Amino acid sequence: MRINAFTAAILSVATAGLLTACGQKQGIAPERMADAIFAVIEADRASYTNNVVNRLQNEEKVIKADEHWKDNKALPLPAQMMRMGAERVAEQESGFTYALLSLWAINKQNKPRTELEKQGLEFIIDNPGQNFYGSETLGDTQYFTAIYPDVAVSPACVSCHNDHIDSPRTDFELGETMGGVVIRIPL
Amino acid sequence: MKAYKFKFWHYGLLVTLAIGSVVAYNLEFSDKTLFISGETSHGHHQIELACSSCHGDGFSGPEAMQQACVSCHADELELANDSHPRKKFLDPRNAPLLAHLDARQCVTCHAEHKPEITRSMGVTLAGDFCFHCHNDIAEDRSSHKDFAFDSCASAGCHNFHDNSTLYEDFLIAHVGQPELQPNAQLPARTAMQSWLRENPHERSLQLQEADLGEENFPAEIAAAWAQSAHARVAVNCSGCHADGQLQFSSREIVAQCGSCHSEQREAFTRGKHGMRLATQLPEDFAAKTTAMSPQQARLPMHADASGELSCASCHSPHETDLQFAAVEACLGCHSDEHSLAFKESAHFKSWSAGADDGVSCASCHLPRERHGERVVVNHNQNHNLRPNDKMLPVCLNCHGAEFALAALSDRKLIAHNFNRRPAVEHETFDLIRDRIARIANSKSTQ
Repeated sequence: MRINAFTAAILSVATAGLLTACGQKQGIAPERMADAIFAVIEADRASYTNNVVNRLQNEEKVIKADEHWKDNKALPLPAQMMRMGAERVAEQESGFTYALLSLWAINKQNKPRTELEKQGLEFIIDNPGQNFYGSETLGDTQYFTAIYPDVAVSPACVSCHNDHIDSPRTDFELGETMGGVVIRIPL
Repeated sequence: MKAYKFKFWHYGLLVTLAIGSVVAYNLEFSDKTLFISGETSHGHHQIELACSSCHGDGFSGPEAMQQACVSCHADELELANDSHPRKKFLDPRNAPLLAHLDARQCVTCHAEHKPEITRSMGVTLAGDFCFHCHNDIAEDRSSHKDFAFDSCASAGCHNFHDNSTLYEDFLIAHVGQPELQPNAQLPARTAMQSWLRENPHERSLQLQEADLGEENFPAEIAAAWAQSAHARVAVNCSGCHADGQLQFSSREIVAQCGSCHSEQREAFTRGKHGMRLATQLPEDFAAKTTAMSPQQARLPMHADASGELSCASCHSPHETDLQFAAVEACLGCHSDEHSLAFKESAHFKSWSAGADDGVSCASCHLPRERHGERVVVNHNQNHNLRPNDKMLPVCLNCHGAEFALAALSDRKLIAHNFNRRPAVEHETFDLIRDRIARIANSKSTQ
């Protein structure tokens, strides 16, 4: 009788453990999740830059892209378009954030600010085609931080940055890494 | 019979109960004035007794307070293309900056009930607040190296929220304009023309068609109505006097007018004149409070200015005389230096002579705004004073930007109601001219 009670107790604990394990979601590794998010960001960004801005502004000369797009009835700049999305995602508290930064940012607020951002942006410039992964603590939260190269995909990227009065660099070429997309996932 | 001997704590208990009863009565059944922790700012004193509109149930946390600010001010910030919206600070890379200045919360800069530290625009931070995030500005803009940080947002160059007419490209596009523009005049209102276009077969109502019954109103009221815009657009007596109601409270007037003029009601209840009648205020506040009266204002008013503020304070409901609404309605109450000086100004003299470029109080303070094809009068008279360089679009109807911005930055000139030219030119345009030269130089060397 005592053995049966003991066996039942063991079985119930094991069953509970199994059920708990089954109920747990396995989850996705932060690196894999960040890679997937970047694929979406990059696809949208390249499509907008090539098929909307470069086509309408540079090729067909139908409408300009302008920083003050509302006042001037123009298209938002590709970088603004991306930041609009990033701000919307941040407002929705979606579990990650992203930003577009550069060592040669026209708006100085978009220069790297944390040590990891500096390190990552330098890494992707020095190692074309590679991504950078790391972790950092900002405020009281630890983040998995991934930095991906942001490449000049169309002549519009290059001409705008090379011609802008506030651009710290004026010799960008098509296909070159101009900055980086920083994705952060709180751990 | 032995007299009851009161002990000291009995008196204490009685006093505590008496005070508690008064306080509880004030909180639950009266106007809550005992609970105001300090004088409210000029922007909120009209509704300071609507405690729950900001504080929720009294135990709400910072998020609920933030939501309360947003529920009234979000549209205005959106319209201004807010330069520092909350969403800009949500990226975790801002954590070190937010430790100095949490720009995600309105109350970080606009604390209420703190009159001793409240400055212009309800700001309760020291005037050099830009320093917290932009202390390295001189590295990017060497032209700014000698400017004090408390001058960024106080010299007519930048605002924290609204830079819609102060950004560089806007100023570049408006540099070098003449002081007085050719064809100086305000855009014409479009409401009546639109209505006539959309209702080509609707004819004006005539005096004998007034449907309230002659015994119910004096003949002069009916005569005024027959000449009014209301009769022109076929709004009969019963359009406002439903069920024969002849007397209205201020709240009822605003609701009644707003049933057709909804944009105007919305704007009116966002400004200091009408904010007590805003629909988003708590019901118990609305039930206990009347509309604002001139004597409750913080600005100087004429001693004999009385009554409650509603649409009918400026617009006689039957005559709808816009000339009266544009000047005399304002000057009937306001007695500050700026208002008292108005009739001596070139603006007024031109207006009273019927010139196209005449300027009334309403021309500037109830601005005509373009909404696509429509030109609509904004009935929130405080909108373009927060801060006052938001008035620039109005000035640009007649004046060049350099002249107008210099005038809007000249406090003495404003007090004297623009009775002379601005004393000095605005320095921002020197920087703009340098900038234009740099851009031209950069293009020529490419």
